[in-house]
Order: sequence, then structure tokens, then C-alpha cells
Amino acid sequence: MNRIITYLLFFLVGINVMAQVNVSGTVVDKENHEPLAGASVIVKGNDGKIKKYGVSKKNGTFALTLQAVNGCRLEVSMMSFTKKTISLDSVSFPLTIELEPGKTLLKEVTVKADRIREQGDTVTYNVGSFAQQQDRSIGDVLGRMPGINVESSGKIQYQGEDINKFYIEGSDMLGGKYGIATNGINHDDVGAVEIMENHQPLQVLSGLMYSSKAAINLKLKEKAKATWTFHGDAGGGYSWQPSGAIWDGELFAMAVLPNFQNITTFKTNNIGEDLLSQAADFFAGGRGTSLSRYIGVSLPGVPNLSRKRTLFNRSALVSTNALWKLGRGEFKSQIDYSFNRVTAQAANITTYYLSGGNRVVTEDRDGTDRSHALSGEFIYELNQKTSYINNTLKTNVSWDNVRLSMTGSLPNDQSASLPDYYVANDFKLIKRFKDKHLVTFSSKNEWESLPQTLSVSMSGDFIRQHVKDHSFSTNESASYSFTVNGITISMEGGVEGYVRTMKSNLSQMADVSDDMTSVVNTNYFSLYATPSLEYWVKRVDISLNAPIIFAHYTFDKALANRSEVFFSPSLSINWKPNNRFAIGVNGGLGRSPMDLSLILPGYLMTSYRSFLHGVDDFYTSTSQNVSARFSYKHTRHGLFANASVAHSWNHSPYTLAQQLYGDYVVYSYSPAKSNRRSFSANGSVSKTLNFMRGTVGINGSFRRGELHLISEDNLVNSVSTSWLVGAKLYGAPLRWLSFDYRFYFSSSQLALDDTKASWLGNVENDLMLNIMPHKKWEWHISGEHYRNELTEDNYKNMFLLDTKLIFKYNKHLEFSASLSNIFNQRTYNYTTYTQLYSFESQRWLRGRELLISISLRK
Amino acid sequence: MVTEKMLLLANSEKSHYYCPRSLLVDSMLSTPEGTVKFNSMVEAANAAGERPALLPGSRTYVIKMLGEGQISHYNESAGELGHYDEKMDEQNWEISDSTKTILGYECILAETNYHGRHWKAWFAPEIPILDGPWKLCGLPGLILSADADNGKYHFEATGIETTDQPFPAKLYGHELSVPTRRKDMLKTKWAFYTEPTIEEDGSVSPPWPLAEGYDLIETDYK
Repeated sequence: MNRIITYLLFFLVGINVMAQVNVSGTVVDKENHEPLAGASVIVKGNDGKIKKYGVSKKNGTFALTLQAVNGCRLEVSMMSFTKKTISLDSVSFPLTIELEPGKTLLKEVTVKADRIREQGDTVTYNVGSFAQQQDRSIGDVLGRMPGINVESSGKIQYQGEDINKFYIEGSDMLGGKYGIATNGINHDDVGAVEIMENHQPLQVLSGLMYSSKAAINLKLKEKAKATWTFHGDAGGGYSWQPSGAIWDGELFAMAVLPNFQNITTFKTNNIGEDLLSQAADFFAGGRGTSLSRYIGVSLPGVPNLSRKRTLFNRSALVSTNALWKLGRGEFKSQIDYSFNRVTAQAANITTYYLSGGNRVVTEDRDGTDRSHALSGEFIYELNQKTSYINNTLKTNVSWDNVRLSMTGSLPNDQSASLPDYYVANDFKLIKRFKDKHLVTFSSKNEWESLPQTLSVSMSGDFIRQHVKDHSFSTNESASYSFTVNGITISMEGGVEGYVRTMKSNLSQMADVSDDMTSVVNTNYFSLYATPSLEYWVKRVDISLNAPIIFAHYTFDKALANRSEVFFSPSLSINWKPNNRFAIGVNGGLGRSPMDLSLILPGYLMTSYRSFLHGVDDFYTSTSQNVSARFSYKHTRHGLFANASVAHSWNHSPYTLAQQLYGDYVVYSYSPAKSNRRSFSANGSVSKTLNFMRGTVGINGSFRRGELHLISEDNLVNSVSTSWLVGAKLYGAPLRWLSFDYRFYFSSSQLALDDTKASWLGNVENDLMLNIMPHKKWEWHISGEHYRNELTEDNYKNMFLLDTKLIFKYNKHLEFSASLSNIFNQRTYNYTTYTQLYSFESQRWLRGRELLISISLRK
Repeated sequence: MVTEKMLLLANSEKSHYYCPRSLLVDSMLSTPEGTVKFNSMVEAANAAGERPALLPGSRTYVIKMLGEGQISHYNESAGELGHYDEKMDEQNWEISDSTKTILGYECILAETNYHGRHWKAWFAPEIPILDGPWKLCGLPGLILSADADNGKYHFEATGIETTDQPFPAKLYGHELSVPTRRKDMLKTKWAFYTEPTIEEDGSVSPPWPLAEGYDLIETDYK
């Protein structure tokens, strides 16, 4: 039997030898003729099916044995080389296959890495898993991350609370001006966004002072590190209303090097994008100089409609920010200049609600606001475990010129010149020794000048109101604190000095009163002591502050000098039982001095028909407040939720009074008890939708404000109530389609005494579809629908449609054409209510606009 | 069913197949500061009654040298790290006519019997990398999906991208692993799972509770 089998086998093999073809050869690199190992070698039949395959060896050779090769072809491919196909019909072996270097483009499918990860107090969001094709800046992507909210200015909130620091690769270059980064940094340069909960930015306070706030850190991709990155856009086009040329341009440069960081940007447009808010300092607190403008001539605005539809602007912004690491410390500089010219037109009918019947004033307004602002901030900071030093020198200079012409029942022209000059230096030194003891010195000096001029020409008369107002404030303090068993006891003591001089003068005005000049010096000197106690063990933090202030006020001769003692204790409790939940409760009460700018013996014209008259005595008010907040997160499920409530009360012995004299309104303060009360509640829930790389979120808020006013000698209790619900849904359900959908519904009501105006509701629906028929092409189509209730059951519907076509030439260059407000809707009418009047108006919209843009990026 | 996220980092010459999470934990544990950080994180999670966010995953590490036709396999069995090499040509694939689309790529079905199991693999000829998950390789295109014995083991590609990421320099702890033989390693592992352990004090611990029908990824050791 064995013999036969062997024979048969031999026979079969013999047949094979007779008919078989040995497809063999060598794969080499065409450029240098080096052999290529690891190339895929496939023989396909004339039906396209794989008949035999192999791989090239180390010396580049391959050998495949086939029965026959008639009609067959050989395909040789390798990553980073162009595939080569050879017909095997008339070739002789061995072959030499030369592969040309080329790109093997992968259809990239981002790895489904965890979209959100959590490690200790840090939550990390993977940017690539949230970004959609239509996104440009990192701010666009942050808004898609559950738990994070981004305003159009670039301001960021995490779980409903403002962040306390914005870092790029761990460095805080921009301070509160991080809107430049959120609106500027390309999301493709950022690998991950880290949220650090309970972030204590001062290392020296780490473990001693609790923080309930979160900070954000952008982790850049390797390609964006240790180098400069640039991108720029330039666009030009035509607008149908106002008819003329439009432009939109941006240049952005960023360097993130080990010892140096820089972000420099230049932006300009006249297409309705507000640049001023992007350069705002989101961390700026109140100024110690405590000046506020008396004169308020503002252009008519348009509520209940997206600002980009109604802003007629010409804006430019230049900002350059740098950080140098010097030894263990850092030097930072931030310099910004902005120019903004805004024009607005409106036709208004204002109805004042008076107890003796309503009064109607008709106006047509046409105004221009030109403003320039220059700011510079220079900071030295040393942030270490045992010492902290910070010196910040800040200057802000701005010029704001407003012109407003009115026709109607009181035709007039107003022109206001409102510059502001501010310089401040803030120094802080903290030393930590023996691990548990802290000594702090701080010194803050601020100077501000806020001159104001309002010129009004009305029925042949020319009136001018001048105000000179400047102040200087100094605040020096020292504190000591120590920690035992989780309890930190601190005592801060300090002195504060304040000098302010205000002069106001009104020319040619005798209708209201003769008393048209005021010269006021409001000065004070105070000594203060703030004992505080903080108990922080594991997951609970309780902190109590009890500042006591002794202050002596002098008013030159306007009012009698006064001495006051203020005591304003506050308590906050934070509890984080685990990484998912956090709960916080705050409460405080106390007495505070009046707003010193209300000490005004004469009359001051604040606009063409309104005047302000101050109080006749110094007063203090008392207040109480309580608030609570709650947050929950489940990062593995991508679920984030938060809710908060706040309630506050304020009691003061003076009440704002409004009196009409002919066409003029006079606001003053009458000695009558006034109570204000406000309540607010907010909540939001958001969650990832991983099946379509999307996010869903809902949010809601409720507000109620109650205050007392005296209108025409009658005490009126005014209550305003409003609530809002919103929803958002983002996703990319198909490879070629992504969408963004937002919905808002808001409703508000005003009640004066027991007379309630009706609830008025507004609905907004925004949908944006992005269709990607080909990897080089993108087509956006977006619609905005508004349904605004003007009076009860009387609705105004508005539908605006935009479209944009984008051609991506390559990774660095793209072209786009956009057409906004396709139906060329030009006007918008609405009615609003404030506490004292109703307001009906006609406003103008930005008409149809065609913009052709080119974008470049390195 | 247990799912683990693995990574195949490949070019035309070689590839590394590993668990990125294990690599991260090991790189943390390789420095004293990292060890402290890792331990405090685990303690905090334990105190809160939660599963730590970061724990090591699979210790399987496969390096393929495509030009040399060699597979180096590193793994853990019974708490000990071991490694062995094998040849790629043990997988004799039969290419069929079936096709399906995975991650936008047209893939062709191929089948083989390998180390005791019947494997079905879908490979993408458009991606000329003759590689795949785990030890699977040798098809004229990258394997994007593979299945053993109708779902006893399953690999599925969840994403693909071009990267400039370097190959890991350290194979999590495997610097200390000892050379062994494939079947010996499998036998030790199976014994660890199925036989009671005698502890140092003489007490006997019962074997691990295994799911019904569970067996190792390679079954030819028995």
C-alpha cells in the first residue's frame, strides 16, 4: 500500500511541477534601489480574487507558486509607497519591482479612547473625541463637553461655576484674559482638556486653604509644543444692508516653549462679531476706586435676537501676551488694544406706567459709539511651596465717544465723551514656614480718573454736563495663620484709605432747579481686622470669616462727618462625600456703607431728559444672603449635573424715586425704607452620546426680583419674574453628517403692586447641519427660528437661514464662501418691559451677506 | 464577557501589541514618586468605596518582526512573567470570497486553524500591513476583525490612525521575564486557574471560579 501512495503522491507532484509557475522577484525602492522587506505581494486572477499572496523577505525577494498565471496580475504594496500592479501575461521571472515613495493615506477613524477620564481630582476630556468637522477653536469643542459651558466671549464655566485659572501646558500666561485663547487656539493643536476640581492656584496654600473652584489646563499635542503655531483667515465680501463691503480677518500666533510662551493675535471685522468681550478680563474684581459713570448714553440694543444679527460694527483687536520663566519665577505681560465702532438705529415708543395714567414718548434714534481701549498688565510671580510673591502693575485707558440723534416728541442730539484712566499696583507676599504657618503681606494701590461730558442740543438750546471724578485708594494688610489638626486660624489686619473728588457742572439749565453744580469730596479711612477659622478634614471644609471694619468718613462740607463700625460675618460649608457628589452651602449677613457716588448735592444730567439728585445724608444698608449648590458627575457614563439656589435681602433707609417734570425725569433718593429681595435657581444636566460622538444637555433657570420704588410720590412694589429652559444636542450620526441643535424657551413677567403684566415668552431654535460629501468639501446649512411674544398671545416669528461652503485644499489651506441671512430680512419689531416702562421698537438687522474667505494654518 | 482595550502599533517592519493602560500603570510604578501617586489614588478610591480609575489590565505583549517572520510573546502566568518566540508561518490562512466593510475598509474573510482554535479573520488589502491583533498576522492586509470558535475570543478594530508615536521602550515589567516554552506557559496558567493552591501556612485556597466553557486563547496545550 505504501508503495502505491508514494507513487500517487509523486505523480501528483509531478503534474504540479509540469504546470506550475514560479512568480518570483525582488521589491526595491525606486529611489535608492535598496531592497524593501515587508511588502505585500498579491497575485489576483482576472476575476479580481486573491489567488496567492506573500511578503517580501529581508533581502526584498518573494516567491509564489501558482498553477497558471494567465490573466493574472501582481499587486505589490507597502505603507509609504505607491502600489504597483503588473500584468503577469507576458513577463519573465524573476521580476524587479520598483516601488515609488508615496503616501498611503489611511481613512482615519479616531480610536474610541475614553472620551472622559477621571483620575483623582482631575477630569480629562479627549478633544479629538468631541471635535466636529465644523469646529475651529478650542472654545467650539469645549462647549460640546458635558459639564463645561462656554460663553461667546470665551468665558468658561465648569459645573455651573466660573473657573479660577486657565492654564496652557500648566502655565498661566493669560490670567483672566483667556478669551483670547478659547477663541483663538485651534482645537487640532490640543490633545486633551484637563479640569482640576478644587484647584488651589497658590501652591503655598495647598492643603491649608480649601478651594471649591475648578481650573482648566490645555494639554497640547506634540506638534504644537516647542514651536510656533500660526493660523490666519482673511475674508471679504458684500452686504446688502448696510450695503457695502464687509471683511473678517484674524491672525493668531502661539508659542509654547519650555521657558517662554506667547500668544499674539490680531482680529478685525465688520460682520457683527463682538471682539470687545473676547479681550475682557474674566477674573477682574471690583475696583477699589469705586467710581461709576453718572452719564449713560447708550445705543439701542436688540434683546431676544442673536447679537451677530444686529451688531453693526467695525472692530479691531490686537493682543500680545507673553510669559518668561526666570529662575523659579515667571514674568508675564499682557498688552491689548481694541477699537470698536458701533452704529445703531431704532424707532421707539416708550410708555411710562404712572398711577395717574400712562405717558407716551416717541423717539427715533440714530447713534454711533466709537471706543478705543488700551490695557497693559505686567506681572512677576513666584509660586512655590513655601513662598509666593506676586506683583501686578495694571493700566487701563479707554476712550468712549457716543453720539445719539433723536427725532420725535423731544428732538435732540446727544454727544458724550467718556474716557477712563486707571492705574493699579497689587503686591502680595506669602511665606509658609514649619509647614503649618503662613504670613501674608499685601498692598494694593489704585488711582482712577473718570471724566464725563454730555452735550445735548435740543430745540435750539445747547446744554453741557461736565463731571470730573477721580479717586485714589490704598489698602495695606498683613495676616498670620496656623493650622492644627485640620483647623486653620487666621487673623488679618489692615488699613484702607480712600480719597475722592467729584465736581459736576451743568451749563444753561434752569427748568428743573438752580442747583446745577456739585463739588463733593468723599474720603474715608478705615481700620479692619478679619479673624477667620477654617476646618478642613478629608472631605469636609467649613470656613467662617468675620471682618470687623472701623471707618471714619469725611465729606468736606457737603455732609456731616461720620464714624461707623461694620461687622459682616459669613460662613461656607463644602462637602464632597466622594468624587461624584459635591455640596456647598454659603451664608452671610452684615452692614455696608452706601454707594458714595450717590452723595450729590446738586442735580446731574445723566441723559437728555433724565437727571439724578443724590441723598441728603450718609446711610448704611443691611443685607443677608444664603446660597446652596450641588453637583454630580459620573465620568464613565459621561454624565454631569449641577444645581444651585441663591436668595438675598437688602434693606436700606433710602428709596429710589422717579418724578416727572414736563418731559424730564428726575431720579433721586427719598428717606423711606426700601427692601430688595432676589431669588434665583439654576440647574443643568449634560451627557455624552457616544454612539454618534455627541452630547445632549438641558438647563433651566428661574429668577425673581423684588424692589421698592417711589414713582410720582407713590411707593410701588415691583416684582420681576423670569424663567428659562434650554436644550442642546450635538452629534455626528453618519460619517458625512454632523449637526448642532439648540433650543431655548424663556418667559418673563413684571408686576407693579398688584397689577401684573402678562407673561411674555420667547422661543429660539437653532439648527446647523454640516454635510461632508467628500473629505475635501464641507457644506453648512443653518437656520435660526425665533418666536417672540410681543404682547399677550401676539407673536413675532422670524426665520433666518445661512449657508457656507468650504473647500479644504490641503491641511494648511482652505477656502470658504458663506451667505448669511439668505432671505435678506431687514427689520425686526419687538416690545419689552422694564420696571418702570414698556418699550416698543423697530430695529434693523444685518441683511444678506456674502463672504469669501481663505484660511491658512501652519 | 470581559473586554479589554488593546493597541497595535505597526509599521511595515515590526509591530507591538499591548494594553496601553497596563503600560501607563507600569510607567507610573517605575518611579518612586509615581508609585506613591498610584498607591494614594488606589487608597483614595478604596476609602470612597469605588473602583480605582486606573488599574493595570492585560499583561499580554506581542512583538512581531515581520521581516524575520518571528513573533515574541510576553505574558504572565500564575503571577510570573515569561516570554517565548514562535514563527509566523504556523498560521496557514485560506482566503474566501466573503467580504464586509469594517471602519470604512472592504475586508476579505480568511480562516485558519491555529493552536487549537478555528480562527476567522477579516483583513483589509487596502492597508498593506501584514499584521493583526495578538499573534494573528500573515494576511495580505491588516486584520481588522478576528473571531475564534464562534465568539469564544473576538478582536475588533475600533479605530485607525497615522501616528508618529514611538514604539514603547519598556515592556511593562517584562524586562525581568524568564524565557519559557509556549505550552509550558499555558499549562501553568491553566493549573493556576483550576487547581487549588496550597498557601504558605498549609491552608488550601480554592481555584478561581471560571465561567462556564472558559478556556485559554490557545487550547493545544492539553
